[in-house]
Amino acid sequence: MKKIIILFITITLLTGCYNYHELETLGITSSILFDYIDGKYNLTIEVIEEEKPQLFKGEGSTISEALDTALRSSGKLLSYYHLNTVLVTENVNIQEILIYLMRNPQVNNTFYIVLAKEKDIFDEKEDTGKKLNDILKRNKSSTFFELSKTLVDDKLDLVLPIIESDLSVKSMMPFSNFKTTKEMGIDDIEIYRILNNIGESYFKGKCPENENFFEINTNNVETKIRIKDKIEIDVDIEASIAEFNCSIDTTEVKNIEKLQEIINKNIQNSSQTFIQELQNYKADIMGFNRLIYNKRHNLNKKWTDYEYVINVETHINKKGLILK
Amino acid sequence: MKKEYNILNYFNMRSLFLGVGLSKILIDAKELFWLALILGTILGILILKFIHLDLKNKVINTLIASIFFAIGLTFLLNMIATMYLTETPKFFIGIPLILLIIYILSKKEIVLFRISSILIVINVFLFMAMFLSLIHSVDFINFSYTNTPLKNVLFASLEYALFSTVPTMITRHKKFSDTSLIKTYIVSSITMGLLFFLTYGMLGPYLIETYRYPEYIILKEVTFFETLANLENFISFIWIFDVLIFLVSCGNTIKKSINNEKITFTIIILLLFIVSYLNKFYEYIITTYKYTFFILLICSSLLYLFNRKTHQDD
Repeated sequence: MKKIIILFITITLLTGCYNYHELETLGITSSILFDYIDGKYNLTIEVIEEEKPQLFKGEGSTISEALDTALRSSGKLLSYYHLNTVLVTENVNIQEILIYLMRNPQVNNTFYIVLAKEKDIFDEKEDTGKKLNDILKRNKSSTFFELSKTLVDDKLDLVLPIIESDLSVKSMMPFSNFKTTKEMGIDDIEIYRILNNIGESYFKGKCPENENFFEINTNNVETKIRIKDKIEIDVDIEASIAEFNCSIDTTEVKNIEKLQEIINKNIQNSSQTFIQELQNYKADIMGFNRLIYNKRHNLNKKWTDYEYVINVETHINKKGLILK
Repeated sequence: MKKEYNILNYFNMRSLFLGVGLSKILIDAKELFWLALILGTILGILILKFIHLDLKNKVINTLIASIFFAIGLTFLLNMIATMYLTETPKFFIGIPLILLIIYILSKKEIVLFRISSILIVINVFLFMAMFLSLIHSVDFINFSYTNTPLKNVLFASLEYALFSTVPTMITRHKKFSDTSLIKTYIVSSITMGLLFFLTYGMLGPYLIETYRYPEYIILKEVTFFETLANLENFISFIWIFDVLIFLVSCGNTIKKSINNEKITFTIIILLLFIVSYLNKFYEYIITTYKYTFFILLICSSLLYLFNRKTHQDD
């Protein structure tokens, strides 16, 4: 009898009941767009219902108020467990949004954050958040977990991919102390990925004997940054030929060496320009200040005061199925 | 029986790191946490080897075990209320836990040992799964220099020694040699070291200070075969088992001191009411977070003063 009473009390007071919500009342959020106009947050929330996306818009002086007004008419409770993407415009205070998302225990850490040029990018027929998530995963972008470090570390600046209206990623925005600087194009994205050992990149070079181009695909990149009187960046790339419109014979070692030399120079020059631009914007997205502090134990000389020496060694060791 | 006793203490040695111990040590020592861990382990071994207790003072034992019970329950209730059951009153979160504790205490002591032996298997499995899933997420840039003063590292080592050894003081048993605990202690330090390494390696010095439960946050990154995700609530049972066994150990000490089941259960239920009431006030939560080290120091000193083994006892 005692056991039955204890069992009864436990079942009726199963504490999960307090947090219980019917699945129909949950708004499974796939993506949220944050915008800030005239002192108010304007949010667009993409909620997935029976595999179809539904959009809800809300406005408020705070993020919580805007989220609340967005879903008030729907009778749904926001669920962030399957959040795929967060989109922000240039008007918002990105720090506030990151802190809001960090504080919420429901939020998973695996979603992506992007800068949206257009607000009207949601497709009413398919899950835009999931599609963006797949695109950004393919591009090896940083998840919220990785980006949250920039919130609290003053020696590292934020960088976000920029989404066009067709959901393509063609540029990125480096931030300087959470303020937007200037958009950087696709070539800069490739250099950023090389210098940060992120995924595959493509580089093209002009053929040594004519005006055509060839393109290499990086298979393995090792970048080492050394802090001395200058900052030395050594990039070691293993690459394969992806596209080849030259007329030279690639079975000859000296020709391969010529191609390697062309790529080395291209990457070197592009990297110098890239770092120069970052220094002008004062956007330390590479975390140079962190490395300097780790080496020197002080920041008497910051990353913008250093000269940069970039050494690139490319090794083309694959050509695909074509011999010559 | 000795093996089961050591397994029980393995859980106790880890229990107070949830929410307080782990984050405090990592915030104090930062990238030198490994040094704090080694020094703390050495100190802990010395404590276990040279501080011999024979729990004979019933009043003090009951009082100290009740304080430890309250602290453990506070940690557990706050963690569950923050992470899982955000809308549930803490009192209601505590009810099934207390019922479970009372049920285990209503049986013989051997039942507690056997439960520990079963839970250790699940604990080890979850820990291995977590470690293998998260090891690749460690970024060595997070171990960069942070200008941490040596005194912080030494204080962190003291914290480690106290947080890991004090819970074992309430389970001292005449039959088992204290030195058998030392092997268990070393194993527990190794697992805690791996956990420190994972947490600091994934979050870095600044996020460690930002998040309330960094040991839970890293679990959000656990995925298997890129398909199984959102497993943090499941894997965090590692922590719940640790604290639950600790709470039952405290209850067992109260039961052995008072030698009356009904009064023991009344004390435990009363502690739930007190802890639930106090947890309404943020000042209590902050006090527990800031001063647990000093509370443990005072309680362990009292336990030693009133329960030390004299030469006559030997």
